[in-house]
Amino acid sequence: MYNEPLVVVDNITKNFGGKTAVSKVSFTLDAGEILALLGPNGAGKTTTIKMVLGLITPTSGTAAVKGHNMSVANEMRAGVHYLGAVLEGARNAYWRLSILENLRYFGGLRGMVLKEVDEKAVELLSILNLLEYQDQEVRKLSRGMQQKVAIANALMHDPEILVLDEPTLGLDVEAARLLEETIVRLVQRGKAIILTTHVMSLAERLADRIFVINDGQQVAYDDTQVLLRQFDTRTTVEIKTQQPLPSYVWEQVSDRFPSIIKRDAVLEWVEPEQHQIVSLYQMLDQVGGITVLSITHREPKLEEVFLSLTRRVSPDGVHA
Amino acid sequence: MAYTLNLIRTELRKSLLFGKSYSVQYIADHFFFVVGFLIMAGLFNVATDGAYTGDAQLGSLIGYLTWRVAAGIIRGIVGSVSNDAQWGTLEQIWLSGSRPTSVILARAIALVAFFTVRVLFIALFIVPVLRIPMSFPLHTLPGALFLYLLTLISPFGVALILTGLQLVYKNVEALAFPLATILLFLTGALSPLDGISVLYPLSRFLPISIGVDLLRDLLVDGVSLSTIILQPAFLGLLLNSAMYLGVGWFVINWAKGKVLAHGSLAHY
Repeated sequence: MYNEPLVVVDNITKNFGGKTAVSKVSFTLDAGEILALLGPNGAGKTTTIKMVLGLITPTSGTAAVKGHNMSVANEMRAGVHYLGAVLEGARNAYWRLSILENLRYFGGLRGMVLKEVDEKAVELLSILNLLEYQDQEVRKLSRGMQQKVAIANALMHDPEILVLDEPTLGLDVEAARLLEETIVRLVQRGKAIILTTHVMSLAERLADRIFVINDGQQVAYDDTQVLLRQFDTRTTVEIKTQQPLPSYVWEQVSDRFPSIIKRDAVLEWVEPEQHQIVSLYQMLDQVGGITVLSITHREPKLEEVFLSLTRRVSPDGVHA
Repeated sequence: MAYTLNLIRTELRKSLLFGKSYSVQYIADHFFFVVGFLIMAGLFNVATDGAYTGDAQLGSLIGYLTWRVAAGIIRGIVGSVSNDAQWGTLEQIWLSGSRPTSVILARAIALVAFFTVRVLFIALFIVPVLRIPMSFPLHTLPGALFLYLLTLISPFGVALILTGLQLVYKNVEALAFPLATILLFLTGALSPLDGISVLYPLSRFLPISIGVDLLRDLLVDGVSLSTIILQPAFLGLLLNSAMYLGVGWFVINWAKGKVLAHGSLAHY
């Protein structure tokens, strides 16, 4: 029984020439969990996961899969046995071959004999709803189905870990939703997943833990819910008024409640007390005859956390 | 062993499926190489005042077909690795856990089988049209196959060199076609180079030249294999093959380290 984390990334750094693409990054992946790697374009996400996959050698530090150091050739070949990957910006499959022939090819490379591959292919293609298309050339399939073919290829040898680099990129809403369902089904079947994505809502819904990287630096790494709470547990109240506040009203409001932010006909207020809201309500009515249309509470979203972290903005809104 | 056979079978299967997918291209290619030889045979015949017949034509055909397979290996391997980089399948091959060099070797064996069948079809058209006498006894064929496979080791070495350079520097694939074409003329594949001062010694260092000469000795001049393997030229063939294979192996392993360090495996 292997009780250690499946993936241990320990202080990895990658320099390309004089430029540091990834600097001293560390994280782990446990069995059955989804870890989302978030970061803007060029932040170092793909470089990081390629170091995990053994496709890029770190300048320093180690990435180990089930104890196998992925930058040592022999150990990498042992480590990839536990890994499957769908990489961004690549076909990951031969478009001139059918779905089944792709699975036979990549299964064959992994040492599987034809009978074994065909049995596994039926199982996988059923899970991914591709069975009826198995004899179709990949180039004739939709983008979403091509992405599922890439996932099927990556799962042929039944790896414990699946690495998905921007899996929903280029997919329409429906295809992205189906892919999300597929990811959930895979986790239910015991797979651990490393996911890089720009879609914050996807990461928020799926990820157990989140790792945020910016300019190659580790910015945050924690359980999704903990990260949301740690960063900003405060609720924002949005007060919609019938019209934007006239300047004489706004001057009085901002004098009395300096933490309120005005955006057209909306006032944003972080964590006000109940009695303060009542006072504001009365002030708007008495001073300017302003009618309040609605008062809503907004919970912190991962997207805001992400933007704040990657723009180096502190929870108080001050640029670091 | 079972793993290696499975790998070869896997690559062979893919080559056949790609062949099916590009069948029109292969038919056109076949036509081009048949007509190409017939034109060259015609020119040789004119140049030699009609003396280019029989055994001379058989000698040329042996060189031509061997060169065709060698060129197929060189272009096939470099081109397929370049395509794999472009399609993102190269990273998937890397992630399969198979040694990349094993995959390339399996691919080379599949290409040898694939191109051998193709050149036999080319011969099937050319031999009756030119009435080339197939005078060699059948028992020489295993020896011919032995020399043929030995001859193809150096083109495999060249393919490894170019593939390694392609992985690191990219766009090297463009060199494969002119390089393979030049080999047709510099190696004496069409006509023996004996007596040509600079070209003959130079050709001894190039791929396939010694092997083609030995194949001609066996199949055209009737020299036995046991005599051939005692000739200095056979030792030359072994050294030539070992040199290209050794350099190729070194370059491809050097390239693997480079691309992993540069993170440029999928670049093309």
